[in-house]
Amino acid sequence: MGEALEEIKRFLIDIFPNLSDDPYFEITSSATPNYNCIAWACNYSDRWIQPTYLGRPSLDCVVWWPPEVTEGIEPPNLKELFEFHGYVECNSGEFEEGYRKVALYYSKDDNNWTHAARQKSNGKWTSKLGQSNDIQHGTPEAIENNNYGKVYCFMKRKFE
Amino acid sequence: MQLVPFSAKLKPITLAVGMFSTTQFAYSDMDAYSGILSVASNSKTAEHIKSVDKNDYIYFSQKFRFQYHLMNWEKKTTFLSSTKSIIDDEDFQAIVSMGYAAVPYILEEIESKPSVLVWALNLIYNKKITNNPNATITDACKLWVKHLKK
Repeated sequence: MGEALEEIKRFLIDIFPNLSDDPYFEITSSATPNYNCIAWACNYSDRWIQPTYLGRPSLDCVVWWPPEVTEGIEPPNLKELFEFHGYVECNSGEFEEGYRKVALYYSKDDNNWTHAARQKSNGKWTSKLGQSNDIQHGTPEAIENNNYGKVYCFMKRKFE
Repeated sequence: MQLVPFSAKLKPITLAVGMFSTTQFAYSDMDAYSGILSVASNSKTAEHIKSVDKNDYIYFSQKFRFQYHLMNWEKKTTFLSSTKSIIDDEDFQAIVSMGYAAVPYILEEIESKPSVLVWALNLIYNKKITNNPNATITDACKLWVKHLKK
């Protein structure tokens, strides 16, 4: 198991090169297709939170985009989703006692949102990488890469 | 009686006949073992083999095509969370455009490793397998396999 984990870690570092300098990088779950990063950032582990697929037939298990939130793939749409969940925009990803923060990512090339990461109560960050594993990373920037792009904004809400 | 060396008593013609007969024996034995002679001499069998070859060719070329697109798609999208990016990917679209021919391979894949490849079935059949809001991708994969394999 240890060797397999190390191999996955090496593989992930290939994809997310900034993780190579991250002392807090850890794999924290097995790979599973049952939830995506947005769901994980919202603290769910049993669903894909996505808008229904823009004019195409609905897809199995992609049902959790709240009807009150504008459907779309641009960063403000994702921001609106987290506002729906009680978050407000904030200046940084610095840990603040009593608050849970999320970082939203976007690709500048096509102006699509790409990812969301959630700050844990120990100040480290957690991300679900697509259909792959959950990981812990030390900073939001540690998973910036060609696919995820850059952090678009930080948001926070009172920790309950 | 005095023994003489065996080779000294063999004339060249005897040697040639001996070698020929042994060789033929060896080859015919090999042919009988491999079945090559029987295929060549039986037209029904030959016809059957031809048709099997054709079906095999179609099967393997489609499987190869599917595996090729699957591998590329996984490589590019495993870490993505955006349904649009996952589905608009050209290799995913290539799998969907194979239509029903891709279905056995999709089933084989999602049965052993549940994944959002199941969305290819949504697009090929133009329907969802479940409207249960609590179903997961793994559940959907199991339901499709059960539905299409019965």
